[in-house]
Amino acid sequence: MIRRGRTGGVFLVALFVMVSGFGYLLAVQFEPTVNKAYVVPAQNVELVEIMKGLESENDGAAQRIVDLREQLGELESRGAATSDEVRVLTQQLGELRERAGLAEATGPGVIVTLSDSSRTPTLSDDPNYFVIHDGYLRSIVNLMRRYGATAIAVNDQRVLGNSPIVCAGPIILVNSSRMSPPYVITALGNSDMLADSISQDVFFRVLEMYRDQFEITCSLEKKTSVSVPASLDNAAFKYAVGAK
Amino acid sequence: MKRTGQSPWQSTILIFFFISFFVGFLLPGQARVVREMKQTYQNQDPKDLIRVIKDLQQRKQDLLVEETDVSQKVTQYLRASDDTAAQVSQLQHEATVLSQRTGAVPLAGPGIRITIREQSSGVSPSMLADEDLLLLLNDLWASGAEVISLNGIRLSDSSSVYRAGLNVRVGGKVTRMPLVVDAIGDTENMSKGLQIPGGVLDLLNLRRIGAIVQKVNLLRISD
Repeated sequence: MIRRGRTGGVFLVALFVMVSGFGYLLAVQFEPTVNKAYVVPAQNVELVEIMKGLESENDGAAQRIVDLREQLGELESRGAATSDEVRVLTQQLGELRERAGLAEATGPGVIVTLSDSSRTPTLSDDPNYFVIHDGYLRSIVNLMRRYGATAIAVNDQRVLGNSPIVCAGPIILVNSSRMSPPYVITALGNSDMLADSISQDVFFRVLEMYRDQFEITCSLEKKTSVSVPASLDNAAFKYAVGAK
Repeated sequence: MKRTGQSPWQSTILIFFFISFFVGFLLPGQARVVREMKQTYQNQDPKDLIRVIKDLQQRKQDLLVEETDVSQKVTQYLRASDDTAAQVSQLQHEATVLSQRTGAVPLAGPGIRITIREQSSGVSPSMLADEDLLLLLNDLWASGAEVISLNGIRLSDSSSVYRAGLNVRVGGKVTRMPLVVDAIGDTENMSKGLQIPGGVLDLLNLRRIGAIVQKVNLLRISD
């Protein structure tokens, strides 16, 4: 009788803990939904709609540019068949477009993939170590250039010398386009040299340390063939003119 | 004697079982909600979303410029399908534009000049880090720079920039501090972009690295 009383007491405590835990979970489950109305300003809904609308418009414009460039390429090819002068100029133009990043590039290279940690930081953790910052992307791009990359892209955006990589809070923008993790940084070039040099660089080793400690994604792969898209920017300068 | 009803003991176990079941049932849901909350942009600072929207609007303008330009080229090419001279003229014009872009010809235009000096004296001398320099260049590109040079070395698409001891390596060339950064482009916007509170100039200032920004009517950057 006494024994059962004690065991029952233990179970009552266990039941209390369980019920409390259950209540806590319920609270946490519904808290974000309930608080949404207060924490999230109503204007955010509208801002997100505007953002998505603009992205959709930009995607449409990007596709139209690709189509128009293809059409222009066909016209130029036809024109090249009619005259030697046009043929030589068209060929030169093709090379210049490649050098200016206005053509898709394919060849051997490497891919660096970075992504935020899937682990939620505890109160004692610095959350900064759990996310990928715009500065990481800039440094990786700079490393790739340093070790001989001939063409670089972050996700679907070609990165030229003048491509800004910035952040707006947790959102990273490349060429004024919103990037979503994982950030896949592709570089064309000598894959052995790129992979060996990047993997031995101090900055990349620091990222690997963050991967081991904070569980961010950080990987480097050698590839026999990678592709980077063409830049969709207009090549003409607005302020700079040819100097005599 | 056989007991007919459930004892309080059995009821407790039953309740315990149901609660455990519901806790287990709710846990994945909770994880999903937290993950979705992180992913949705509706929970972000409106200031960040406005910044993204402004960038997307700028992107829209940039894409429109390119779309209009290529569209005009297509139209001109169609019109000049039997006119070799017109085709040559069009191709030469684009080749000139691309030569300017790829650094094959010297360029001139309005811009800003930033002179960066480290403090070599004192107990702890200041030193410009790679990240500082990359941030400065990035802020210039983001605010409308078209061409940039560091101590007269023009940056190209393949130029890396990093410190090598006291030197600064720009692409395959070596230069030393102090660093004169010339940027041709939208002078007003670049100047404003650099001076945003908490921006790169404030960062350099905090690190005791001097940065003097001057607007220049005509800068010249060679290849």
